[in-house]
Amino acid sequence: MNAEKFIQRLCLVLVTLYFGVSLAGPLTALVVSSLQSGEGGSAANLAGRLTDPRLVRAAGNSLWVGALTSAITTALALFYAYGLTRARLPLKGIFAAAGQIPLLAPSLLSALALVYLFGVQGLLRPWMGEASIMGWQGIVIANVIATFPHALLVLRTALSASDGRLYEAGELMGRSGRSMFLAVTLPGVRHGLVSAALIVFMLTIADIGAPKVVGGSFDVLALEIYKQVLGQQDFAMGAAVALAMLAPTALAMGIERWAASRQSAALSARSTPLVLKPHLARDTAMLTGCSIIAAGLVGVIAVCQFASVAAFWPYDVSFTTKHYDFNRFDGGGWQALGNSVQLAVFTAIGGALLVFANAYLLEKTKPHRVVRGALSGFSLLSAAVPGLSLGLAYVFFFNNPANLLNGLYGTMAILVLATITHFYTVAHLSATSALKALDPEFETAAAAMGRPFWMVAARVSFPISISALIETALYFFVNAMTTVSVVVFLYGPHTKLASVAVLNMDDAGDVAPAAAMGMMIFYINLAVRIAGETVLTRVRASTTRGKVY
Amino acid sequence: MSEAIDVASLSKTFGGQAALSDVSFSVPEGAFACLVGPSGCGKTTLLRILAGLETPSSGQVLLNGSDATRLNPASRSIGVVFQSYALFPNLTAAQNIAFGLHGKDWPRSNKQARVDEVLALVGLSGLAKRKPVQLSGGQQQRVALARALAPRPRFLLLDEPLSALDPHVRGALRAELKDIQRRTGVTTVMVTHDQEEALALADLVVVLRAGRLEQAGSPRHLLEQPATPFVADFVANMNIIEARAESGERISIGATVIAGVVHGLAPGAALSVAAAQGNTRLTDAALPAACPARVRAVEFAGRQLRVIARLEAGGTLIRAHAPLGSPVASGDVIGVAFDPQSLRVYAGAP
Repeated sequence: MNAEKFIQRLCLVLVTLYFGVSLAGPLTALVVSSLQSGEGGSAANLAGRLTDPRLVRAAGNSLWVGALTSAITTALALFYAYGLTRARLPLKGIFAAAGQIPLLAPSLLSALALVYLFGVQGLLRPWMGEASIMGWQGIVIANVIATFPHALLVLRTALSASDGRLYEAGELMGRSGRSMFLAVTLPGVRHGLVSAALIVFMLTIADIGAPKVVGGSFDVLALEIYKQVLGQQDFAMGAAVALAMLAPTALAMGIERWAASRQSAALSARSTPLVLKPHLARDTAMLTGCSIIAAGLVGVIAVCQFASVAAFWPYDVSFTTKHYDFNRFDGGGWQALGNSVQLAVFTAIGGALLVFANAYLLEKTKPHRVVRGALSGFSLLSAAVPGLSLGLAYVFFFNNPANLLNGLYGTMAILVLATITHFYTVAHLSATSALKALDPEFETAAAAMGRPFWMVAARVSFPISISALIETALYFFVNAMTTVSVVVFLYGPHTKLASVAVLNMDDAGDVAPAAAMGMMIFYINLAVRIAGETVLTRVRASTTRGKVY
Repeated sequence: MSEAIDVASLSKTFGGQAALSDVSFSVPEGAFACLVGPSGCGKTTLLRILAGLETPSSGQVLLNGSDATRLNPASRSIGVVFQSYALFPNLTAAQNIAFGLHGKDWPRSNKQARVDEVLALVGLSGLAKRKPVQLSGGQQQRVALARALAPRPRFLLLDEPLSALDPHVRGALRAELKDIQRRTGVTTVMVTHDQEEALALADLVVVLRAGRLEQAGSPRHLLEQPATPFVADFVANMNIIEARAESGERISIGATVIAGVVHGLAPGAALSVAAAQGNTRLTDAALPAACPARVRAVEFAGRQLRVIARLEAGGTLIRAHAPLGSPVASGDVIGVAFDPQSLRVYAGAP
């Protein structure tokens, strides 16, 4: 075996080990733990737990809020994405940025905003009569806001891939705008719609923040795991619920991948860009609708910002910074914020490099199809595992004294590992598509010149993919700052995190400090995103500079 | 000339599908060989096996007399130009060329000189610092050629290097490519699906069809003595007509009997007859040695007309030339006559 083959195989072994430690091992531990009880393990124990009436009710509730949130968010995101891509909207850049705002804050923040607006002491409470925000309606509204950017990203991309020739052909055949929408636009974004709906569904099912803050007595699966593990210390029941949560998300993920494989390319080399002509009715409707949605998204952040500097919302709104004195409250203080930044930096760098290395090995070095299938499967599997289930699986796997990696438990390393794994799939798909876009002959050309694959990777493929690499790192950073579900069972006394602090402070009744911590996460993410965009703009400009042909 | 490349009984299957079956030929040192054939005939697979990028299922590749069948690409002393050029877009022309200059043979001082030398060889001396995106298609093709030639390979392999260029640039580069090959003396194998390109460039043309070797030889040999009806059609652009052997030196095309054709086959045997377009004449349909045909199309072909007609016997489409101004039109019934001496006869129907 030559050195190149040896290194290629070594890399594949290392990536396989990573998936073994980060996914296969923990999930196996989760299954084993769900079968165990005081008297030993059996499938009957698991069946008994899974048919527990409370669990069945929580499962039904989860499916209901998941489906409703999915339907509302997808419809709103489609409208907004249509406005951004198919209407002559003024200030499109601002509308696009507003649509992404909830991504930068923990999902809890939208729930906190609802409490500030519609809770018992909410600003708009007097207008609500007997209605209450607590319950499924609160969970749905909070999740619609929190998951909106995810659906928007997918649908905006789908709607951007439009072939102007189809619309010109329709116009020449005398078809109306409405019939073209039904005949061309909707079929073109069918996969985007399915994908957006399923992503929102999975995120909602796995969310713990909204049910905790505005769920009231409405039980959902995510909250049930949390209660079983942290409240009642019933780890076996927690494991059973975590397994139950895997089923709908795995099914949703399976459908999404199936839909993706059936989608044909919307654009060909001969496609022409769609030229938008002014259309007063359409443009006015879009401007109005998008303005309302954008105002809602910005409003959530504005309310939390305002409340976090108000002395005693809503009775005394005089300015104060006392809620930002985090060291006075439980939750980890400023140190938690420092830990979160540390986690985000490690996750961004480690995650982006790992994802690209794995995608490169799979795409460019053509490993044996069994290895390729296994690694691709693992790369997609992580999206099917809800954060809480993954976090709990890590507890069972790493908190086992017999495990050689037991020392990782409670450290920053396990948080980084869990966070990278939790957000792996989306990053993997984007890295794969970036690498697929490169000429497949690069490696062959290098081989003919006697240069090893890592030389092409280091000098050509990675430098060309640098903008995708930065995008991936930003994706990991922002999500590591905001995630709660995957880390809530894993942090130790020295690794408390800001996003978890928001949850804990709200739990302890410190709602304003919770909002303040949420805002700090938002501002850090915003700063990193702006810095990242600045770097990306320069990188993109340098790749096209001097283009003459 | 000694043999630089020997391909012996080479076969390659992909998942049970044969891409190459028992292919053998030799390329003399310093020769320019073209692998030609229609899409899917296995020519690119053969080139990739020569480059060491694929391993054959059976058979042997000898380079300068040594078995190179399982040798890795780096140890074969080859330069490759890909159809897409595979130029690294983030590196300049000079950096692309220097990418292949590594190891103890290429200390830093020699590297720059060699880059300058090959850039001059392909006529791009002033463009060393340009990135591929700043070069035209033809210039990119030259950089790819310079990159392949830079390490002074003993073999140059070209995978349809001209196919992405427009016809005008293509013609100019074709001549330049031949000139550079002659000046460097590197043994070259080029893949092309364009038989005209192969005939213009090659010292040796290797014709493949469905993974099998049809014929290998000089362009003149292939044009004058095509070994199979496929070579006669694909390379020499001849008309292939269904016929039947008659007694003596006679054959029949439908009801028309043509005398003076040597065939050596039993009367009644099915034949394929190849007739060069230049030896296919349009005449009166009533003449005894003329095969009746109906004109399907008349096209301008330079200073003459190209007439496409369907033979009434067998329905074969034939192509022939007629002087400009000939009174022939689509739908006319005409006679087609062949020069018996120039016909090539193959056993079996087309």
